[in-house]
Amino acid sequence: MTQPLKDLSAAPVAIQADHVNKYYGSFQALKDVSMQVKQGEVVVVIGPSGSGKSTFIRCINRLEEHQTGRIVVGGVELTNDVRNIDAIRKDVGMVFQSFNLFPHLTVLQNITIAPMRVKKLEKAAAEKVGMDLLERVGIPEQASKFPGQLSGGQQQRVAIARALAMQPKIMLFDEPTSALDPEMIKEVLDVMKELATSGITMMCVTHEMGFAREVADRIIFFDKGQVIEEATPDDFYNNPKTDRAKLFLSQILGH
Amino acid sequence: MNSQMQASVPFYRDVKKLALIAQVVFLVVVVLLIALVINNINLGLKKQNLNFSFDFLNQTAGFQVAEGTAFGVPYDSSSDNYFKVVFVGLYNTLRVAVTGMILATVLGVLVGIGRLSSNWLVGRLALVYVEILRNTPVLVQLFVWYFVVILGLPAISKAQPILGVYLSNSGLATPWLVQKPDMPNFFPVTIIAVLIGLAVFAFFSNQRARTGKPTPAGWYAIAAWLLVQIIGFFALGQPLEYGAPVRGNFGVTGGLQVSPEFTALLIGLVVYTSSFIAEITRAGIQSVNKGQTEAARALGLGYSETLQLIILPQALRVMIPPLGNQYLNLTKNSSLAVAIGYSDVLNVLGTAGNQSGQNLQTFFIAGIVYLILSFTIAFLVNLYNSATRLRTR
Ligand SMILES: Nc1ncnc2c1ncn2[C@@H]1O[C@H](COP(=O)(O)OP(=O)(O)OP(=O)(O)O)[C@@H](O)[C@H]1O
Ligand SMILES: [Mg+2]
Repeated sequence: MTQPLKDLSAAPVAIQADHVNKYYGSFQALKDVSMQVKQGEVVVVIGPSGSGKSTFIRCINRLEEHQTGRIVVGGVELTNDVRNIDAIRKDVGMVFQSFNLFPHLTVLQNITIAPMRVKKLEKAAAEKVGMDLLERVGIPEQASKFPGQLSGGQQQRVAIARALAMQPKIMLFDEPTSALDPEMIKEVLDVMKELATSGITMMCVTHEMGFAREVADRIIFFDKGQVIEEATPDDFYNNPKTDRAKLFLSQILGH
Repeated sequence: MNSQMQASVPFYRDVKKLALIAQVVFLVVVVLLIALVINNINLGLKKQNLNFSFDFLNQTAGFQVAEGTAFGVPYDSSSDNYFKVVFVGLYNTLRVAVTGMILATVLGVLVGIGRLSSNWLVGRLALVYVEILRNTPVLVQLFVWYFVVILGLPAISKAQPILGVYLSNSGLATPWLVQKPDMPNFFPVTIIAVLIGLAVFAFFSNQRARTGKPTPAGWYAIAAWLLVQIIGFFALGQPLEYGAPVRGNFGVTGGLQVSPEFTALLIGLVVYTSSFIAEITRAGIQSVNKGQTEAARALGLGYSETLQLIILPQALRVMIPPLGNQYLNLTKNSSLAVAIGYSDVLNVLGTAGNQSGQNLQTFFIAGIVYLILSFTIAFLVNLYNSATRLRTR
């Protein structure tokens, strides 16, 4: 019932993390995290609340700064060099749990602002890109509305379109459906599934098992700031190897 | 059954009746107080043999006013009446208040952003600036600006012009487009041009809010304003000419002259008010959700782009009402002009009152003038506030 596995063995590395440690004051949120994500790979990150999933994913585009270890994104190492940070942010799109749309701009303006300002795209060209993306996420008719006038599911789809407008090579999702009513989750997941099959590299923090089983190449299980287990979705859900993963699954699958 | 239940409540426990009674009592007290005040004023006037009339406004004022023009029309103390001199004062008040509001906003917003800077030195300097200025009386600050700073500048005979601009203890003199004496007054054109510019801005930002079509409302407004100025200039037969300050035996003549009193009052009000606006800006920026910055940075927008395009426009919405309060304060504080001898409306009215013996009337006029100014500011702020409200479901 699973999709045939993509052959990623020859694919170049998109994200490489080596022995990453991250502290908030004296609290260690990431402990010696090492992992690799290949280009075109879809990785789902799961784990209990407070396990460091958000922290890790936010380190990848420098919304959080790691203290030791190495993170290399698309061949560029994340250092304090602003040039590196800018280069990485150009290639990495991010979707947040709380959408974070710009409430004072229209839907279309939300999408075009970065291409126009960062990529210096002409307005007409940016709007063309924006309308195409709205078409792709299924809400072209909302272009001139303000975010506050849309439903949660529509807002999250705009947020995805906004991130895609920069034509990123990598997309990061941090619990994109957790703030949504159940009937809206599907419309967002459908967009994400379509995206997953398009060849883009994706790293998603999500507990949506259906999504993970359908499109993920790999599951990474975090606990207490550490990577505890990495496996294909089938392996992970059917026979988790570690006790912590078993415990966690028994909790989210409802006993 | 419902009406039975209501009927069974005695009136002293019925919320609606209690509210009504409270209002009636309050009204009666207010009316009595007003009657008392009016009665007292009448008695006082009778005792001193005065009558409350504004006829004196038609009499020749006969006293000199420094910076004596009203909206582009020169004031002549030998022939103009009290009515006109009030407008001279009003014009001076408006001049300092309007310029002050604009400059205080610019300075205050910059300092407010500085307060939140991740640069330790910038943040500290902004903090010191805010705390010193906010916590000392504005009158003291005015004295310092006037007597220490401005009057401490070199005398005009020693001042070195920089690009034709003279800065000395008799104020600032700079090259400017000045009114030709025997030509039509250009001032109304400027006012009309500014109003049209504002109207154009309001129209296009409103349209943008309604249709979501992004229009450069600011540029349209500037274009409209300039266009009206230029049309007016030629329609009135070019009533302006270039004038540069020239140093003579008795100071400078020509160009635009700004008195030391105006300069000190303007700087004093701007700097004082900017410290409050800085705090308002800081609070406004901090009120914007952190996720907004993160989303903007994740998209690749830089620090200043994020601030300018994402954070400040949202912060401004929270800032408008307290900003309006600061504009009111600045306007009212401009009446401290009297302390350093600037001819604002209160100062002029004070002189007029003393000279004509009609102090009650002149203070009455002063009260009305400040009320009108305050209401106008409040009205404009509310207008802006409702024009930029967020659209939500
Ligand atoms: N800004 C911060 N300052 C201090 N501690 C933080 C901060 N952000 C996160 N933490 C701590 O770091 C740990 C990891 O947090 P993180 O948000 O990465 O967890 P998570 O796995 O995303 O959890 P959730 O599923 O609830 O989103 C938590 O214990 C959290 O309290
Ligand atoms: Mg999280």
